[in-house]
Amino acid sequence: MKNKIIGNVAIVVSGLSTLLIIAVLFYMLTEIFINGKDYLTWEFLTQSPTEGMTAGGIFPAIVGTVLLVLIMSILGVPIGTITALYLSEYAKRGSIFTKLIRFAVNTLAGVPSIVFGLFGLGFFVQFIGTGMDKVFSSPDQVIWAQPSILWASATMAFLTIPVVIVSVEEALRSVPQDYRAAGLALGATKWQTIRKVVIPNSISGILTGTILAIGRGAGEVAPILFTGAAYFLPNLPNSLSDQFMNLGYHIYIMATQSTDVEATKGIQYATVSILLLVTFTLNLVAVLIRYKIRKKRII
Amino acid sequence: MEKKPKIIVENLQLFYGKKQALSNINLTISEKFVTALIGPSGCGKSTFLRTLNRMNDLIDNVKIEGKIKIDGEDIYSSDQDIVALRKRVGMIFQKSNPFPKSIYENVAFGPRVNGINDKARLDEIVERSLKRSALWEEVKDDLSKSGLSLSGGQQQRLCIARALAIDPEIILMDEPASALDPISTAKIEELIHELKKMYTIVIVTHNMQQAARVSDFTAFFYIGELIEYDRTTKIFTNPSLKQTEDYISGRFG
Amino acid sequence: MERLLDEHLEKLKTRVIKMCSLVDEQLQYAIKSFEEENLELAQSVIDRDRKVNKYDVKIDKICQKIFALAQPVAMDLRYIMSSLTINSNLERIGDIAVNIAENVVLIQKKPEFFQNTKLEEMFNLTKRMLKNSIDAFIGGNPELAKEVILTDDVVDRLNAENHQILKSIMKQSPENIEGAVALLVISRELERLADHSTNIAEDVFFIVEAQLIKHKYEKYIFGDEENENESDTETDNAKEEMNS
Repeated sequence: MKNKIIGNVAIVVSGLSTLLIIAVLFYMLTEIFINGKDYLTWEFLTQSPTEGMTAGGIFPAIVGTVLLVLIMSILGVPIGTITALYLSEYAKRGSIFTKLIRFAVNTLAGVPSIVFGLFGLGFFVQFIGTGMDKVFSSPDQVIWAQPSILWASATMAFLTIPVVIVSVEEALRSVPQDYRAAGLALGATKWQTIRKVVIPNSISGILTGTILAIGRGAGEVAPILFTGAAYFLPNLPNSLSDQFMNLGYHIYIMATQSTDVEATKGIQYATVSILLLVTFTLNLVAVLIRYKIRKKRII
Repeated sequence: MEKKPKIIVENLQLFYGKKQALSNINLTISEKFVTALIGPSGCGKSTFLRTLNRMNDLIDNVKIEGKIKIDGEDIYSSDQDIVALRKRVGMIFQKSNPFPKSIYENVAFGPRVNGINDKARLDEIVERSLKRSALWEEVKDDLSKSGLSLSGGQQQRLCIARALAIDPEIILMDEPASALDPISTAKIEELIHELKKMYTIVIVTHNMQQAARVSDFTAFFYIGELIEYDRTTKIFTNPSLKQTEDYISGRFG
Repeated sequence: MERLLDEHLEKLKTRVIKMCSLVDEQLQYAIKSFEEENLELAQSVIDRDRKVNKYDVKIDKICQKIFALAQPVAMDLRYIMSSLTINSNLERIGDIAVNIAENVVLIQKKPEFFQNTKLEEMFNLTKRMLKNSIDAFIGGNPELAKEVILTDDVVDRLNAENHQILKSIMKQSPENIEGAVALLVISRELERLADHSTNIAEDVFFIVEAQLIKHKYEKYIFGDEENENESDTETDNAKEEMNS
């Protein structure tokens, strides 16, 4: 009898918690959408901001965000995947080197994003940027030693590498050892076995990791504060050394530092809606791709 | 048929760290015969099997002393190409493990790895291998089906075809039928009987009747040692050692 | 470890031992009925043959069962194979005892010239051979079995002598033909009985030493030095290989 009561209480409590969470989420989304819906027009999406951000669109911010995510992925996903590959397939368990790498990855995952921003500023912008200018630019010309989309993307890449590593490693580990044994027993080298059997079998996991990383990258603001984001730029970025606009950054500045916070309120909400939409879409894409791959049993 | 030595094992010792798993193994396996390895669980027969294609190398902490000569060459010498070795010595595992690829791609895996990409040649190899493993008739109509969609017995024959596709000289089988129903088991046993005309076969089995049915020679292992090795007929009608007699009569193990 | 097979083997052994003692008794009584001219005893031997046949069938059945269900190997296998052949030898010995008893019923009185024949000696020898072959089998004793095998020649010789003696008796006194023929038959039966006992003794070697010694006496019984080193099973296997 007592067990039954406890069981029922547990059900009620978990049900209530779930409802609470859903309610909060619902409230947030509703408030955002209601306050922003007036501004969600096609022009909003395709035009630059005007009149001190109180009118116009957020097109450059969308472009900047997308570019950031793209470059970040190109830099971060391969490094993360290769590291995961090394850790899962080649690293000797228990060796000092392996332990060192794991420690580094775990630590990296826990570093606050603002610290990444400072790191990006100090390392990429000031250190590497200055060095590059010395080599590639004419004297007195500052091209690389300043915030740019390249440095912002690099910083973000480091932020998301742990996520990529964890997902990819999990995917690799889930490939049964049987397959590796079979491959090796057929006279394939270790790399051939990995390339032809293990990796194809863990693509869906690799994809998941990538898209989770992207989802995170699309929304983070702190790392790009000093490394490349700008509030208003007359042009879209032309080269890697240009600065860029960004949805998350845009919202932050609008809400705290714009000249007329009240006037831009609607735009803020609309921008937030777009940001949420982008994030949500990316996650959806991940889920769909993974679903399709899992349905096919052949790779 | 005359016996020709194919694999000569000399004073083989194997250690997992400090623990000795195989002691003083001396054995000659004859070409194009079926040799069965029997013994109770944990006696080292599977470990021994894996030394023949150096699959034990994949386990950390394994140390091996002694020699294993295939066609006169020690496969544990420092200049032995392990990948090449595994192309000569194929392996079939206890739990069938076809790749999650099509039947065709499963069988073509080995040849592709060896650089054969010409479709006509691959087609020929795939057909030949599937015929030799008695699976061709059952799958020839749709080779693009996933290997995993086959029944257990068929999957195991697919794994055999896959191993045959690289044209090995020796085939190692680690309890190939233990997960199969009696009819599939019988098919595999018939297959072994056919295959021994072309390949040297070493099979680990915990099923004594299977060893008796299928093999020409039988080696009895116990706690890491080779207790007795002789013609199967002799082992099962009049073994030399009481320990062997007790084991095959079911008095222990 | 107690095996399921052991239960069956126990049952088989019990039946075989019973068969042995039954047949041994039959012979004893048949000979006794002749020596004492005891027609009732002779008749009881004839009647008891039914029981012998029953045991014969029982033993065959349990052997078949064990083969089918337990796939025996090595010594178990040899023991069961031998049980079958020994069984059939014992059954024949039982028949011989019956034939002797039937002859007793026929002639009813010992002929006077009985003492001139070697039959008394043959009675003693064959009784001993049967008993020893059975003991050798039950005890797994090849030495005892060897003795039985060596005695067979003596019995053969005695039988040949009986033939001469009885033939001349028949020629000299035709009125004694009936009696002489009866004794001749008994002599022959005893010679066959000795052969069956010898078969049982040969099987003892098969079980204990895994050697099929029939037709190979030079090596196993007479200790022929030349052939001793040649392993028997190797030769068998080589022949097997050639034929496969």
